[in-house]
Amino acid sequence: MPQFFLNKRLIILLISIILLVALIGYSLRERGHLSKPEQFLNDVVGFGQTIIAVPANSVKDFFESISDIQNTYTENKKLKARLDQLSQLSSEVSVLKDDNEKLRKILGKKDDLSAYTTTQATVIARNPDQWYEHIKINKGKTSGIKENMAVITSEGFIGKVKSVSALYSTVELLSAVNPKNRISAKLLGNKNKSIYGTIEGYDETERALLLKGIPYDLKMKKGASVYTSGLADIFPEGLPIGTVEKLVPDENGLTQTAYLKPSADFYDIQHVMVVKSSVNKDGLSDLNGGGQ
Amino acid sequence: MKRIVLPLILSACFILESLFAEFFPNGIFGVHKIFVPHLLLMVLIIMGIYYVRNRTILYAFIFGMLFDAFYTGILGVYLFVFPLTVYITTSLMKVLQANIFVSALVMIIDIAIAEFIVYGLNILISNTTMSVTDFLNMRLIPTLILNLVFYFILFYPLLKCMQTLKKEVLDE
Repeated sequence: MPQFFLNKRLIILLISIILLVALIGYSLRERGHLSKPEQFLNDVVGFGQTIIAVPANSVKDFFESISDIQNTYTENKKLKARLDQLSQLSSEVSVLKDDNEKLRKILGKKDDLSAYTTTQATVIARNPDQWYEHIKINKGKTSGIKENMAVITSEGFIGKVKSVSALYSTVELLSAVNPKNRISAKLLGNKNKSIYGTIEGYDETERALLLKGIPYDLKMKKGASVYTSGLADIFPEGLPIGTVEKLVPDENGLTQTAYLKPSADFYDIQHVMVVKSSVNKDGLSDLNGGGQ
Repeated sequence: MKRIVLPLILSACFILESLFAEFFPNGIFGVHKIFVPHLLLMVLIIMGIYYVRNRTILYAFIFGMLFDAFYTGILGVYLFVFPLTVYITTSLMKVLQANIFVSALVMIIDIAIAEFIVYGLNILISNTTMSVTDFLNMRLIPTLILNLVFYFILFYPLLKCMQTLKKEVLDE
């Protein structure tokens, strides 16, 4: 009965293709949270992953510290030179902070867009098929992490929380190709005027972030630092994103695009901090449709 | 004890893949190429060649589901790709003689097919903007080379393991 078997195979193939399309459609639609079974799977697999990943990380740390020791002498010299400036800087900062607080009090302004608290987390996995720039961290809902929170390293902004389960969460890096991934950013231009734009996408070949929507007549210095603006996003203000590399006009010439060198290394991440903005912007996230 | 050997091997591959990606992301050996470890798929293919077909497809299905849920977040892609490649493997092995070089060739074909399907799907859902030539040069060829190296390291231990396991299945 070869005919019968041929049909059976065909039917299985067709059914699986229909299932495939349905499942992909299900996962792509705008959804706020992972479904319960997915969260469960994430927790179980994450647990196994942690058992292996934590010792592996410590082994890596060990080898890294060995190579660090080799550079200790030159580093120490440089650091000593920096230390003299540091005490001066820190006293300046404390004076400025004090000043800032007083002025805020006078103005009666309580909310500070740049105030935030952080939660430490360790990376336990990175997506092996490198189509999706996702990493997994070992903190989840139980540690107070929610979707769309900003994630930083000590060097700068790296991405946002994509999904959470009870104990683990997924972070989508800025280098991911996602048309919905937009972050409002700002930098100081000439005459200390703020320039605003949005981070839209990542250039693989140049390894640069694209800051779009800058008015065509503005000029900026190479090496100017770009920060999150804290305006439309649920991210707090002032997280460093990168520095300006070059400026090119857009296709239609109405705006220009800046290429940014990311301040954090997207390819060597081990310890991250999840940022919780102190200002309640829950209402705003609805306005943004959660798709920033 | 014997029953959990295969799930253990597969889980170990599942975890090692991501550790590899974490420690050598984008460019080991100082080259700017994408090396994708496909340990899990490789073990599944070797299972497809030297072990029982239907059980392998079941494992491929389960681990494909885990892979989707845990790593990519897009359900269905690897759930479909893993069993399909195992199925292609077993159909190819009906006409081919199983030895180390033939299975290496089959593995390369399988991984290339899997990569192409996933690439196509990613283009379809506009998850990537990579062009076909970039895909071939930057991703496919380095990936195949990396997995060939893995294959020759892991082939003999896996072969021994599969043979003992298959003997047991046949004895039952």
